[in-house]
Amino acid sequence: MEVKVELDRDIIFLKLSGGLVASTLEQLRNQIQKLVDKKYVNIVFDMSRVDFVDSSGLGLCISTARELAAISGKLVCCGLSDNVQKLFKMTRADQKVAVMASRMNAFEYMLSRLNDDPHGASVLHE
Amino acid sequence: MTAKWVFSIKPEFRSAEIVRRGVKAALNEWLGDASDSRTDDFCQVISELVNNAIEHGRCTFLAGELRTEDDKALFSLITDGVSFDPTAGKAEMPVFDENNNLPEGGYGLAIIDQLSDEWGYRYHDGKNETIVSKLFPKRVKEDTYGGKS
Repeated sequence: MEVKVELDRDIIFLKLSGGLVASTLEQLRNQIQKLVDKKYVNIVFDMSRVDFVDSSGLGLCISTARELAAISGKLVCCGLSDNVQKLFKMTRADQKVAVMASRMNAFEYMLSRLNDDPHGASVLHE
Repeated sequence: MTAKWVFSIKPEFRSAEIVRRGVKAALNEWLGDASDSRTDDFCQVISELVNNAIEHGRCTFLAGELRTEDDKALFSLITDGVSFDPTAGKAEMPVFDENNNLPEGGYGLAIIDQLSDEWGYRYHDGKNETIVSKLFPKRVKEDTYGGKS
């Protein structure tokens, strides 16, 4: 799996390509940890190029959403394919992980969140 | 037309991806249609099944096959090791806990159970065999005279 990192106004976009599956999770987990260590807590998984997610990949989305929420951050997943959307729905992950149709929707959602709660979302980046 | 795809592969997580892609290619060739959502469902089942065998079955041997019978696709997974029956596990979708949190694991068997039509297990000749199946009803085309072919 390829992971491309982009930053736009305190929001991190992780552009994922390939399969979000058990064999590729360690790389992404490490990447997220490094970002959190640098106090980046608002993260978007751009999944428009993810063709498959297994239950381990789903678990990573759930745990990342929970961990970011615990430090006043947020995870948004966007650009899900039909089969990935189906997985999120059948497991109820869509009730715990914010899912947006497009990267633009995710960006606007994150921006409004930052504007609504400037103190909670304001972090000092190292 | 029938489909058959046989594999023997090292039991490691990246093998699940290889098996899933092989099954998808064989199903697409058999169906002649890559857009069928049932193909995605069946590939999801197979991925979970292979991962489950690797993670919990502690196998050193992993092989299997995909075959079709009429409108049904059957996937058989064979592993060595001690008797390991995934159908005996909990196949219910995890629920929210008292703090309204969703567990990050425990979905695999429930996904297999929900997305396959049937699945079963047997232990024979020192090997575990798990079989999952799914129906792929062929599309009935209507001709210009209203008949069906």
